[in-house]
Amino acid sequence: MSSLDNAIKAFRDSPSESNLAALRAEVDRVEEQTRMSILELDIKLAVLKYLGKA
Amino acid sequence: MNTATLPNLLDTLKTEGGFTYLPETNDFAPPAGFAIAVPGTERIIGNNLVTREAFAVAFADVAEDLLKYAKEYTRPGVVQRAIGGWYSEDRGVYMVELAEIWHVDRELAIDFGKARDQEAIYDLSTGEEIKTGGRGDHAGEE
Repeated sequence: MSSLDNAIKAFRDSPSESNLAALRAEVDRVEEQTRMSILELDIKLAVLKYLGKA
Repeated sequence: MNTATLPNLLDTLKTEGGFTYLPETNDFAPPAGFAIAVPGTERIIGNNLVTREAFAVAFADVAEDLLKYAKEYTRPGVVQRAIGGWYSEDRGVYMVELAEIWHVDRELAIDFGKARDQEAIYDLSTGEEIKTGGRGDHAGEE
């Protein structure tokens, strides 16, 4: 299970403020990771296009 | 980024002597803050002649640094991550490097630049290059 899955499970098993905060933090982390991965691909594609390779 | 981003940045580097680009927000002209380079990220791309290939390769390398850096350091609100390009008059070369935009006062920004042994920092609100007396990544090359 991913750390996000773990955070979801922890909140479902025990719906508390602290588990909700931990789940929110985990969602933020995954969101940031996804955003940076998209940016990485975006930059790579722009460079390839600029060099006429895509 | 769109297809005009890289040509625009290279044109700006050649015609204005530098640029500060925020890839995360696609911002070409951040209006405020002090751009301070991150040591160890400088890529020299040429002196008078800068080819699009050299620029693109350096840009991609620095972008990779930025993405790695983003995973290691998160300082929301205080610092923005940027790719900076500029011409060093002292060394007669164009370069691309990872930079941070610090939203702090001028004195603190100058202290950061000195602590990082930078040749200069850049005041985005005034367009002023502020010499900080260091040698940048050039230190240790000789």
